[in-house]
Amino acid sequence: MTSRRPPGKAPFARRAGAWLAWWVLLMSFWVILDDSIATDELLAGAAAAAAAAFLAERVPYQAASRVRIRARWLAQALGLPGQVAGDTVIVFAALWRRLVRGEEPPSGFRRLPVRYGDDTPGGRTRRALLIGSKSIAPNSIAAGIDKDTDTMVIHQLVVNEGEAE
Amino acid sequence: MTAHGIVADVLLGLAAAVVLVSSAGILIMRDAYQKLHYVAPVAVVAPVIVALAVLVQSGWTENSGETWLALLFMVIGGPFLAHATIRAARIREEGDWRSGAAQSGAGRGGPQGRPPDRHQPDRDAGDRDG
Amino acid sequence: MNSFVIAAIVMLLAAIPCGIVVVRGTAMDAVVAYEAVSSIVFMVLVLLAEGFRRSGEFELPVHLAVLLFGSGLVFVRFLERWL
Repeated sequence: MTSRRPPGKAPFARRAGAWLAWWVLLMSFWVILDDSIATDELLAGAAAAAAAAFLAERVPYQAASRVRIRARWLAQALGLPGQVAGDTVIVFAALWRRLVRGEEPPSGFRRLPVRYGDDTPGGRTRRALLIGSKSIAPNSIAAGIDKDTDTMVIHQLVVNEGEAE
Repeated sequence: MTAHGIVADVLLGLAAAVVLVSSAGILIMRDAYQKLHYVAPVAVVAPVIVALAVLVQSGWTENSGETWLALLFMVIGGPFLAHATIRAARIREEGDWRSGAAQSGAGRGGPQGRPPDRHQPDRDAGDRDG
Repeated sequence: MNSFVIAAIVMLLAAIPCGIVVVRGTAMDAVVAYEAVSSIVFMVLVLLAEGFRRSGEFELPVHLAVLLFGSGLVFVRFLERWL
């Protein structure tokens, strides 16, 4: 089994910072789930969080992948709840028409114009967030982003004229 | 019956209705592509409503905290699982997830817009990449 | 029996159509139905834990929510490549 490593060694300070951030997050989960601040419980949680943080930091390092999120991408997520609610109505209406009138929904695969971008951590994160945001609402599910044609292939239960960002 | 109880009951009724309708959709719809669209209400919409019902009933407690933590995993993982599923279904059927998709604005349905029936010859072979 | 337990029972009934698809559908249809059943089971566990007021039983749905994603991916990967 081979392991992919980044071209240069990641600075120890950055890796230590990533480990610490994971430890804080996982320790928070422990406290939420355990609902106890007894010393023994906290020590056990600290040890478990340390081991899990080590794995969480080590795996992306081995895979030579990092996540880079821009704040404006998260701001665009504010519209997702409305989109999910609207799409839920669309798919339920399609089911209603299927049951009452026997109409097959006009479903199919489509390509939407989406810039593929580069293979930097920011580019990969952007594509992952695009696919996730396009797949969370019931009417559309993304199959992938085609590098050759700069398009996103999606399947829609009720094909509409919507466009990806 | 308190106001909290009534609100929680309404939310629970809504979640149950969403799950029932989605389950019917999974049974009735024609193929895996169409059925998959009814998993999102079950995996994302209904759990959010259930988590709200728990929050209304219990307030901010350990119970609701754990429920929202679990919901976080569901909401984050669900769309990517749907993406992986439809991609796998496409590869399994066509050999390539990119084949046969119509361009935006090319109109609805049509032979390129519909996944080919398993028992019919593949009409999209000309669009397959590589 | 309170509204949470009743909702759990209704959701369990909603798992029956998905179970029919698992048994009678194609492999890919069965995976889709399995993903839905997993989500229904998650909600049933939360509802029963709240309905019976047992705090300790909220941890199981947390674990299920994580494992649900992984198990679905395992089936999907096998169906995509080997089965």
